[in-house]
Amino acid sequence: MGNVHALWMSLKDPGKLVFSFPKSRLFAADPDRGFRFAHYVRASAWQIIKALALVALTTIVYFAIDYYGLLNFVPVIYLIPVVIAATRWGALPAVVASIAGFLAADYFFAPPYYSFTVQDPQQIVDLLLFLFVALVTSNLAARLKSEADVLRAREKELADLYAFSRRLAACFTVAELILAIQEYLSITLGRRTIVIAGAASGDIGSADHQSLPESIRQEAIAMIATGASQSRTIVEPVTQRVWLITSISTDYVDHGVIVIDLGLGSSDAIDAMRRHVERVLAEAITRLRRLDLAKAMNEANLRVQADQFKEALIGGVSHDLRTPITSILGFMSVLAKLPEIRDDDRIHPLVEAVQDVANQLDGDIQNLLNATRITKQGIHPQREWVDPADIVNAAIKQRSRRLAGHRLTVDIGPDLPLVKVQQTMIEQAFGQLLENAAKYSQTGSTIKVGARSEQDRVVLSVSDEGAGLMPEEAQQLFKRSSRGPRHVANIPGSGLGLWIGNTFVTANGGTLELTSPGAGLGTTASIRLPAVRSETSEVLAISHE
Amino acid sequence: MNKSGNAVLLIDDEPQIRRFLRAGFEFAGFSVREAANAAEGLKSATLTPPDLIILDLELPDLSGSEVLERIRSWSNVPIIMLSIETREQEKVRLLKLGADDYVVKPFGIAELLARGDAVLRRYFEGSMKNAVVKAGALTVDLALRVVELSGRRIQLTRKEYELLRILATHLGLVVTHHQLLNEIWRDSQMQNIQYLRILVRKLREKIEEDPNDPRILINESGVGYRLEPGSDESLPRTRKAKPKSQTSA
Repeated sequence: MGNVHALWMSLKDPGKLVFSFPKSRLFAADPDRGFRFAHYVRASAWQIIKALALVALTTIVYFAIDYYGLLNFVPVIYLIPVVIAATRWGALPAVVASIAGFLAADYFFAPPYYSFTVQDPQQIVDLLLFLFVALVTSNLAARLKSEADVLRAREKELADLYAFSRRLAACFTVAELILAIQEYLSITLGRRTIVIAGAASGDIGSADHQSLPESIRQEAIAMIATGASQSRTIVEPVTQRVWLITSISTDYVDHGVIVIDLGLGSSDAIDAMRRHVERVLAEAITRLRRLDLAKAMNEANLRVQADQFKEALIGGVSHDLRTPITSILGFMSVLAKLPEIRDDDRIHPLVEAVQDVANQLDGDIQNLLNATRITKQGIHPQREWVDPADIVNAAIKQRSRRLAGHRLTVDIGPDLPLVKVQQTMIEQAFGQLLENAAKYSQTGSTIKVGARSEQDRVVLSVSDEGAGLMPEEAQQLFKRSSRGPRHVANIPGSGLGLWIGNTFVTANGGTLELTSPGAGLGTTASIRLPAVRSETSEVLAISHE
Repeated sequence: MNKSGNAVLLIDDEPQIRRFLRAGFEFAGFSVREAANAAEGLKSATLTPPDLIILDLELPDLSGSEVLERIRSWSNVPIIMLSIETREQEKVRLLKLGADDYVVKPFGIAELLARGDAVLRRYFEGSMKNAVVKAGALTVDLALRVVELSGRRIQLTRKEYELLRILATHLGLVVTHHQLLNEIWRDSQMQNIQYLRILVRKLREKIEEDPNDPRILINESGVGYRLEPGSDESLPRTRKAKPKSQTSA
């Protein structure tokens, strides 16, 4: 349950993914050499006792046979317990059984009985021959046994690996997979295993990390930090234990590193263990890659679906909101045309006011749609040659009612070069500057509109006598949805207009700039567009036919 | 204002839009028929051919451009398209497919009626060879090739006259850049649009009171040019924001 909990925690916060297993249940090759020898002796002692018991049993049987006087001196009978001990318990119990058998035969059955002395030289030879054969047999049988053991171990290893790969195939999340690796390494192989999650630079403060030897921990963190995808062994200087550190990363995701205690032992044993662990990890990482790929595809699918949803939403908003506004404006335009209303000085301004508000609303929806479209698709201007005067005039015409309360002066310089832009985008941007000038200055004040040529640029400008800009406001101007705190309360707006305008101008190779001598001192907004004059004279010649 | 009692067919799926269009067109003297979808519209246009069709681009059963193509396959009845915020390329495409003009939603009825007048004028008077076209203070005698501004004759170069002639025969209607380039230079490559811009500027200097504030030769952003018929009493347009001081010459 502890592991399940850790898994859950890690799913909630993948950056802190840490698994840790307690020391293995199968207590295999561990702490130090002295301990291991004692362990070996303790395990063997019981087998030696059993071997000795077998020898004792043989002696009893031999007594029975001897009692009936059936046989002469036959020490070879003691080969039976020797062979049994050798094949079942290995070399040491077999050797003990050989010596015990030799002594028992000598003591009990070689005259003089109940003494280790032997009179008959024939019997001396028999006894020595027996000892020789017994020792050789026990050695051979024990070797056979150990080879069988190795084979059995290898078979088990293969079976384990097979089970492991089947387990991997059933893992459908990265967390499950890492859990499976850990279980395999720590339970089946009996190796202490710690996973340190990558991604969010790893949580170094975790208790499990702290339990690692400092040098190993440092190395593991370094591997996460560098993102190196290799595997290496390190000998911990204090205990001389060998640790394997392997990164578990795929092409798509860095999942972190896995740290495995390979323990102490001969370099051959460590190498064999290392190879085995690496084989296991290689298989796991193949599976991991497949999971990551599936996840990446899944995410891409989700993104596409989200985009389609957004598109549908924009389409819906565009249609559902603009259709009623079109109706309102249409009805109002019909009303405004009726002589009864057109000629009534009290009603006609009301109709116009409704039109203004509806137009304003339509403009806001337009801005919203533009902003969403820019964010979603980016902008791809269709640039062609345009007369800057046409841009200025079209923008003024579009905002004529908005500008009605102000004194408007227009100054379009003579013989302006053409600019290569998408006309509607620059119109929209310039219209926004006009709109802002009207919005942030007093009714009745003057708005100056200009178009002039300046070196290799054409400058379209709008100057007002209005609220001006404070330095900190100037910095926020082009941010999406940003609105100056001075105006939030009393002048309506979405904060999208200038952002869109700036985006449009920039996409067309121009710059948008707002300057102001200070608060209350008016603002000048300028759009600078690259112009090419060189071709104009040639063009003039062509058109002058 | 329409005097002849022309029949207009409104094809739009929005009842409220049909309603104000009906009010506006009836006020202007048209007889009005309505269709709420493409199928009805095509049926109505076939059974009793109208004098003018107002066609929405977005219909529930077929797209407006599809309907436009079908009608154009057997009739050259004037068609004005209604569209929401269409891209310029889409407008150009509609004109190429045979739409006489387009109006972008939201729009005022006066604007649509003006376009309606223009397409009907072209439809019924287009065949008259000796037509004299008036646009504000400008008079173009297409038969005699004489151009007068406030009664004073003005000299145009060959290409300037060609441009003015094409626009005059489409008085009040938009003519695409593509079409102008094709007819004036026999070359529709869009990179030559700068020739057109300069030519328009030259022509404006001769026919406009203030070339920097043109009232006759109007640019339609990204689409083309339109020759405005000039201030017409039936089309009350509010032009308050024009106390302009022009300093350029």
